[in-house]
Amino acid sequence: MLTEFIEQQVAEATADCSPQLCLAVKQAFIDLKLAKSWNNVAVHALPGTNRAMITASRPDNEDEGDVKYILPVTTSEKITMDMLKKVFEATTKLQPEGTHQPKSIYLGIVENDSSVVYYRCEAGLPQPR
Amino acid sequence: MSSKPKQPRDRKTQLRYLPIVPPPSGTPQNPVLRLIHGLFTSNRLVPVKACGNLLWQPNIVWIEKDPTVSDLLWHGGCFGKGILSRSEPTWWNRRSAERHLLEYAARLNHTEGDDNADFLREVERESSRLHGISRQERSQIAQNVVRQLRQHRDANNADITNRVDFDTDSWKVAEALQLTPFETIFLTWALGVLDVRENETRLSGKDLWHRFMQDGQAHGAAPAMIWEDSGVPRNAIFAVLYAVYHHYRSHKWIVKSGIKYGVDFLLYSKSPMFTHAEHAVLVIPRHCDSTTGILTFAQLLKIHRVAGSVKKRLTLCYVTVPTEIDFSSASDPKTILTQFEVTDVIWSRWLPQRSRNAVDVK
Repeated sequence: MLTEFIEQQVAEATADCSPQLCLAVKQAFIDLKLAKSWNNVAVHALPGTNRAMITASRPDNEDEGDVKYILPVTTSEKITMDMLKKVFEATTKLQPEGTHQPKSIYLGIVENDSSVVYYRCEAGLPQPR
Repeated sequence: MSSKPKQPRDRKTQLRYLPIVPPPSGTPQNPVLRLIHGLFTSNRLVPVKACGNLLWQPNIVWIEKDPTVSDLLWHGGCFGKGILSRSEPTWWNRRSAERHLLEYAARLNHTEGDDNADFLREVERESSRLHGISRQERSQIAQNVVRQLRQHRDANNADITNRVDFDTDSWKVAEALQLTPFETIFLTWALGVLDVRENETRLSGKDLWHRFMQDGQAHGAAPAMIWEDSGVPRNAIFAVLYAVYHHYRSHKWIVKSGIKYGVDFLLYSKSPMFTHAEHAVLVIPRHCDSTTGILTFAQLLKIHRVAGSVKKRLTLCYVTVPTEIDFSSASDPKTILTQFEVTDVIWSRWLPQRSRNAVDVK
């Protein structure tokens, strides 16, 4: 039952992904949706890359417009600057027209025991607090 | 006659390292007598065989929720991890607890003027009566519930319980137990307590071995150069890592994934529920007649710093792989594994000024 639910939600967006990435997307998806209970969890294909991106909003956040971007990643992948640059650019296309590139995305690193570890990735140097 | 365990169950005394139960005292030693004895008693070495499903590609193994199976695998060596939990599968218990607390808190009719700390205490007191979840999870759920109610203070509180999704009974068994490839091979091939099926076809331990060898891990946690220079072929990396897993499991350690700390495995002497890991194991493969497998000081320092900051002893596990070894699909896992040599070395920082008068660290 859970497998059908996951496949239904994730199939379209992961059509172009490699099998390893597809699995990572599925595991990150159920972690966010069911385990962490984030709201409005959706999977989108990232145009121009063979990847998928998850959009979701925090459970304690009432502002439904504040959407976070989570990129499922496997442990055997090399995260290169080139790849991240392409991902950030492609994410702009996911957003409504006219909005700027998102300041940060989260890398959802999926392990083989189904744990997902999240790391925030900011484009550029943040201001000192 | 074995006595029944006391209620409520004391989990610490019940810890087993493997999902097998040794025969109780009184079982005859003579094999014929033992066979006859076995016919009249329910003492079996393996209480029940678990059944897992191989899914997707690359393959993962999920074991559907079943109380006897969870008990066998989780309390018999901490195998597996609930896909929706941090360790033991408690998702449904947490959800039910949250729903129950939401209803309870809504009934309390808390208004804005009242003391929030009192309200939280009241909810936490109610949460302490719930079973099946840990103390940490209880307080977290209580805080979540209070926060949710505070957000919906203006809305009608009766509607809040409808916000808890996936609470129909059909979702009760949704959370499966996921096994890592190493755990799967250990349970199917080494111990024989697990049956893995793929779309109703039963796969043997050897079939699974070849599957995981093919689409197994690309490399371990050690720097990629170490793995590439060692000359271990891509389809044999799984065998090298499995050898280490098997080695520590045979020595009564509970072995879990160590990727969070930049190592291959974490070793627990008791259950992960009660203690933190004592050792962080980094696997270093090397060919027996070469000088490969050497970490630079900079690499060692980085890895040790991470492990040391969380109070784990860094254990370097050298696996020597003979050059002439057949990793093809016709090979037998036992033949491959018996040719490996596993040596472990503990790397820890020594401060001369501190150790001068102190007893040697064990």
